Amino acid sequence: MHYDTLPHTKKVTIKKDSTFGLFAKAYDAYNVVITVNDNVTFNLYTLITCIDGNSDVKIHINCGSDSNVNVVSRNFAGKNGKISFTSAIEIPEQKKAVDASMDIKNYLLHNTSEISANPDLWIYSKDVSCKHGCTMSTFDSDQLFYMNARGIKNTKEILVAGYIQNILDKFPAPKHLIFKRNINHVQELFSSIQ
Amino acid sequence: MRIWKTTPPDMLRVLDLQCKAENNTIIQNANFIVPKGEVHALLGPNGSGKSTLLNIIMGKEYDMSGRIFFNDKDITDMPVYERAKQGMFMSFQVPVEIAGVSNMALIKEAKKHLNATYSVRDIIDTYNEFSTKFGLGEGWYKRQVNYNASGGEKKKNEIMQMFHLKPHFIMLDEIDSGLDVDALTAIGSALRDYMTADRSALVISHNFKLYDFIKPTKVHVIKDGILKTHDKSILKKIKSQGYNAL
Repeated sequence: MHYDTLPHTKKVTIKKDSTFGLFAKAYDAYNVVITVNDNVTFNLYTLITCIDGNSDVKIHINCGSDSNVNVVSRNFAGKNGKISFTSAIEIPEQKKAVDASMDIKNYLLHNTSEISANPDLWIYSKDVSCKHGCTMSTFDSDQLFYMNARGIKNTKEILVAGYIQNILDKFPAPKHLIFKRNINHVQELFSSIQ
Repeated sequence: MRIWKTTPPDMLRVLDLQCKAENNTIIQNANFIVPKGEVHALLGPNGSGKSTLLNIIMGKEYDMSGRIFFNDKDITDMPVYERAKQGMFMSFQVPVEIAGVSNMALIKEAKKHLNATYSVRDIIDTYNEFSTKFGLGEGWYKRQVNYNASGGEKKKNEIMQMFHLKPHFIMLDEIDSGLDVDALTAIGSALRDYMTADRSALVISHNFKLYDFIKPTKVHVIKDGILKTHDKSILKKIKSQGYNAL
């Protein structure tokens, strides 16, 4: 498996099994069309942490036959943060045996936060397995109660750090550590949690 | 005016507790005491409100009235994390999974908030000691909290957290569910050793074998919203005849 960050270029072709990360913050904009070749596994983990500004991310993935495509997105909008996120998976008619999934979770950390999330599945082929989920929420009250019951007060910070860590853990060291630098503003994000 | 006098002193005192959900009364005017150094069982048919009662004592928000005292302090309006700081601990019936947060991170944060002194070495050693004892092997402290864990593993993790945080008052909500026979013995023995004269427990379990280890002195039974306190001899009756005999 090849690990890397998603480039800022407009078009990317995935020729071999790859796991890519996209780490965006305020004032970052991505508009990327990704073509996944036949018989390739492609995992994309996106992490948008936006405080006081706009982030605009558009991803369009064209799947090849027998490809396995997984998109996992965790988006956090802090105080005055506005995120616009569009993720589309397209399976053309002639492409067969595609297994694709999209899992998007958006977290509004402040009452001034805004997130517009648009998960798209364009399926023209019949021979596919495709699933998607998109949630817009604050926090899981059961998780908050559980951590409170252990005496922890700043539960939301720990949960956000955990969600971020969970994405970083998908990448082996030293990539993991390099990516961590992309989110060195996370303390600022914590302070905007309401 | 109700006057409560017990020896030894009360650890937990619940006064006229009433709880409603969606206009249905789940618990009506519950009154009971758990004195210091005693283990009490909390029983009742499925859906009778046992877990709800533990959640209320731990501080989860419900449409409720009444007062709860812990070590003679009124904690009714106290936030959940403050109650934990006072020495309360609850083992959940269905422990939640927290992706991205390791057991080590959770315990470190909890100890920081509880103002407990700790060292990373101690946390690792304690985790390794108990995870080995409970058949989980070493390295459990690195695992994410309950993430992708089986039901039994989650219950063992709850007990391991308890040993780290050393609370004075523990509430166990079906700690036995999902445990195999050997694991139940290991956890039952560990709980028996944990219970000292300055610690109390309120335990929900439908598995009467657990009570052989922790020996409850009183049994509180909730049925049709009413809580009644019985002597420990009621356990035999419930075991043989069920709740309909009460």
